[in-house]
Amino acid sequence: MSTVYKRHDDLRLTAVDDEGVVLHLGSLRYFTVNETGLTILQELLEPRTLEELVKAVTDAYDVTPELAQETTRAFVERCVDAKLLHTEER
Amino acid sequence: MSHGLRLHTTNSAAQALVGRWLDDARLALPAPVDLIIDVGPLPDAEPDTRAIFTQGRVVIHSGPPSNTVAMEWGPGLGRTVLAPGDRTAHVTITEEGLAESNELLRSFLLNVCIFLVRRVGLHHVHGATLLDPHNRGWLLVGESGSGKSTTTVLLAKNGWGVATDDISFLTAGAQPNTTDMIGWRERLALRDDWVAATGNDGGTALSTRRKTGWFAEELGTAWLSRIMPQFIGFPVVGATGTTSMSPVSARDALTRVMQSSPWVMLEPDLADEHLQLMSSLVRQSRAFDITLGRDLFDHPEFLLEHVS
Repeated sequence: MSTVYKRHDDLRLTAVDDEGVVLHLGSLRYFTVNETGLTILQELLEPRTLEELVKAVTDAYDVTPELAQETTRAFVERCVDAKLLHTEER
Repeated sequence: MSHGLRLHTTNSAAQALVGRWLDDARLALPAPVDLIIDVGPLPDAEPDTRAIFTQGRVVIHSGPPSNTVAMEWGPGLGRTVLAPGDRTAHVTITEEGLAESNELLRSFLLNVCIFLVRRVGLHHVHGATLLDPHNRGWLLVGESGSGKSTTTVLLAKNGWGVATDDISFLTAGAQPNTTDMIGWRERLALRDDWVAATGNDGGTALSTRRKTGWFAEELGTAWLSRIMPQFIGFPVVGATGTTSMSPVSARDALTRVMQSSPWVMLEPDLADEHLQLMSSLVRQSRAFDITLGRDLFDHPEFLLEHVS
């Protein structure tokens, strides 16, 4: 069993100039995300494990695996708190 | 082929009032939508516990489980419920509501129409839309009091074409991944204390709004149904008397357009289309903060000089 992250059904995402704007329709709130956050949310078009998301970040940016892991974990946890993402076991 | 917003009512007063308003609007739609108005007591309604969004005295409920949009004006003056995808709005207004003509049209029924035309791909933005003398489209986004109407009147008198000073709609552009703006034609309305500053004569007294209004043609310019913006301005009235402009990032422009187009949040099946139109608009445009000063009255070409 592994934990996968999924976009919430209420999430809507768009990109402009390598940054993202995220809507949460349920709470009528919006968020802005930087380029790395946008990469992670775009990767989450399909459910992904943390490891898969970290790989997407290290593939896209010149960054150490350790820093990518730390950055990605912090980002997805904030997104889970904001109900933009949720987790499932698969 | 474009269509209009079709009115159906058996009440002669509603037909005259609303029919004239819709005829003036000349809203060009890609497919027809229908507005059915009954005048009489409001039907009973179940309490609605869904998320609330308010626009003046119009209370809007939306969201699951039904995903309808329920609107009540009043309390107790008017009501409608729009089902997802339904291109017909059945509206009931009371005789008392019919008598409050300005608020009936510009608040309640405008909100109904905004949700109705979303169903054929038009998404409302609170903004003015103009075409400069070099055939470049401008969208001025801002709330009441931001100076967009005064600026629109000033520019209209200086050779700019106008679609609207207030009620704009995003729609898919002729080119892929582009956004055009469609204007709701109505009088460009200035507060009475600003009329003298713009040097305008005549106009129609809009007494219930304490404003004076002119159709674009009455200011000697063309009314334009559709414009493709290349510039987005976010005007504010400044304190110094001097007009200035500064660039706005694409991300900030998008979030600010979104704040003037909050309907994007309310109907999940339309949110993607609405959001993508806003994104395309921002990608195709340069965006600026515009601090408006009185010097713009003497030097209205400032905006053109700044972007050239």
